[in-house]
Amino acid sequence: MKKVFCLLACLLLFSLPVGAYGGQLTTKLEVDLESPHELSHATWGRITMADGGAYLSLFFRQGDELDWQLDEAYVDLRQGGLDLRLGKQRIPWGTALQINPTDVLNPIDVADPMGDRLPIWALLADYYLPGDWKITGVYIPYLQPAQEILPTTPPLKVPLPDKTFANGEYALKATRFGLGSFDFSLSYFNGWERFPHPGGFRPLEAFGLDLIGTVGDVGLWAEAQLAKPSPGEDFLHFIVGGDYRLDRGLYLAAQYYYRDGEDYLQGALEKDLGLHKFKLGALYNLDQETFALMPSVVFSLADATSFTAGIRYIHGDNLGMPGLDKAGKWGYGELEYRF
Amino acid sequence: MKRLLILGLLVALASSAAGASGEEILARLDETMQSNSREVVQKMTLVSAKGQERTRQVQMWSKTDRMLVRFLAPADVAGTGLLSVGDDMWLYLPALGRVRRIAGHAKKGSFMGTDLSYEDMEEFGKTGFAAAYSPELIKMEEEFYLLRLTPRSQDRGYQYLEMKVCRERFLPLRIEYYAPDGSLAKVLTTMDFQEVQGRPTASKLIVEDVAKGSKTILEQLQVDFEPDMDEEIFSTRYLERGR
Repeated sequence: MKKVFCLLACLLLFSLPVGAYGGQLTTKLEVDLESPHELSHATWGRITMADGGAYLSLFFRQGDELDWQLDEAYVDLRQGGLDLRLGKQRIPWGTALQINPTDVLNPIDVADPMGDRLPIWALLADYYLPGDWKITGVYIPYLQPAQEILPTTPPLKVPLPDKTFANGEYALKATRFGLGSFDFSLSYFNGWERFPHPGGFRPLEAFGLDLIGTVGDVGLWAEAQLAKPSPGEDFLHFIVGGDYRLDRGLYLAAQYYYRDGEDYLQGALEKDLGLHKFKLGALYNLDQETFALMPSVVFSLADATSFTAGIRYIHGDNLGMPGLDKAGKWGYGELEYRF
Repeated sequence: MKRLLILGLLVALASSAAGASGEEILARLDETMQSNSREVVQKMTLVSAKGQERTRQVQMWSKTDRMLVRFLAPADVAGTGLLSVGDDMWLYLPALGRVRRIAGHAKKGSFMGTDLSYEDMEEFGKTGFAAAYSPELIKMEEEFYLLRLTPRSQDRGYQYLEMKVCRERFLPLRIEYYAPDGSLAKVLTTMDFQEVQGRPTASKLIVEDVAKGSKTILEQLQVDFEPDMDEEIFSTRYLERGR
C-alpha cells in the first residue's frame, strides 16, 4: 500500500511544471575513531513540489535498503485573517535553539533524533487578530507516535489507542508579536505521549510558555512546558538562553536546560571563514558530569553544494539526550546538494 | 582693524556655509536615494579573498521603516526571509519552518553573507544617512563633493565614513567606512547609473571588505519605485509563507 502511494505521489510530482520542483540530497560517511574499521554510510534526501497552495515532499533514506516515505503533503487555504493547512505537516513550536520543550506535536525521528521531527496528519488553523496577535488551533485525528515498541527483551509492541474522534488530539496557542521588543506564546496540548509506557500510551496534557526578544544587542529567550501524563507524575522542562554576535562574524549562543531533575548547559559558536563556516556545539550534563563536543567545518563547494567535516565526541554514557547517549568519538563527512 | 573684522566675518560665513552645505548635500542625497516604497530584485555575487564566487538572488520590498527580503536562489537559501519593522527583526528559515525574532546585534552582522551589514543596507534607500550621521563638507571638486560623516550615536559600527557624492546626480560614488580604530574597513563603489521612473539610481554596487579581502557585487535586475504592494507583506504572517 505504501509503495502504491509513493508511486502515485511520484507520478503527481513528475506531472508538474519543472519550476515547481526542488529537493535535497545528502550523503554521509561516519567512522568510529576508536574502532576505525567501523564505517557507516547513509544517503538520504527529499524531492519536493510546491504549486500554489499545495506542497508535497517525498523522503528517502538509503541505509541497508532504500526506504521511501511520504514526508509532507498539505494544502493551504487562506480566507481573511484565517490560514488553514490541512494534511501531513510539521508544526514546529518553541523559541529556543535545537531543544524545544514546547514542541510537542511532531514526534522525534528515532532514526535521527537530532534531525527533523516526523510530520503528522493534522489540521492547523492560524487566526490573525489586530494588534499582532495570532491564535493557533490544531486538530490531530489520531496518535502518530515516535515508536510503538517498548525497549524490553524481547521488544514489546504496545497497541495504539483506537482511531476514534474522542481519541483525537488538539492543541491551542496564543502568540503576541512585538510586545515591546519581545514575542510571547502560551500553549496547551491535549493528546497522548509520543513514546509508549509499560501500561500503554498515556494520555497527556501539556501547558507551554515561550518568549523571545532582545535587550540592547543581546538576544534572549525562554521556553517551558509542564506535562501532566495520566496516570503519572507531572514533569517540568524549561530552557533559558541568549545569543550575541561579535564583530568579524563570530556568533555565540548559550542555553540552560532543565528536564525533570536533570540540568544541562548548551553552547554554540559559529565563525564565518569567508564562504565557509566553523561551528562548535557543546552540551554538558551538570548532574552526571558528562558532555558532548561537536566541532565541524562547513565548506561551500559551489552554489547550493556544501561539504561538512566534523567530529562528535561524547564523554560518558549518561548524557541523557536522544542520539547522544553513547560515549565515543566519531568523525564524519557529509556532502549536501540542494536543487 | 576694519579689514581684520571683514576677514573674520568672511571666514565665519564661509565655515558656516560649508557646514550647512554638508547637511544640504546629505539631505539632497537622501532625498534622491530614498523612496516611499520600492521593490527590487537583486543579484548578489560574493567573492572570497581567494576569488571563489557564489551567487544569490533576492527580492526586497521596502516602505518607510519596514523591509522584507526574500531569497529566490540558489536552492540552499531559497525561501529564507527577513522582516524588519523599525528596530524589530524576524527571520524565517524554511528548514526550521517557523518565524523567529532575531536580536539587535544581528543588525551589525553581515547581511546574508555579504560584505554589507544590515545597517549598511538600511541606509541605502530606507533610512538614509542623515538620521545616523553628521556630515562635514571637506572637499568640493568639479565632479563630486567629499563628505565626512560622523556617527550621531556611539552604537554605530564605524568611527566615520568618507563619501564622494556625485554633483550631477546627488548619488554616492564611493564610500569609505572606517573602523572604530581608524583603519579603513570597507569601500563601497557605485556604477552603471540609470534613470528609473524619473529617479537616478546606481544599478551596480561593489563592496570590498579591506581586512578580509572579500568582495560583494550587487546588481539590480529589476527596480520599481512605485510598486503596487499590499501592506500585509510586512508581517510575520506573510514572512511565514516562505516556502
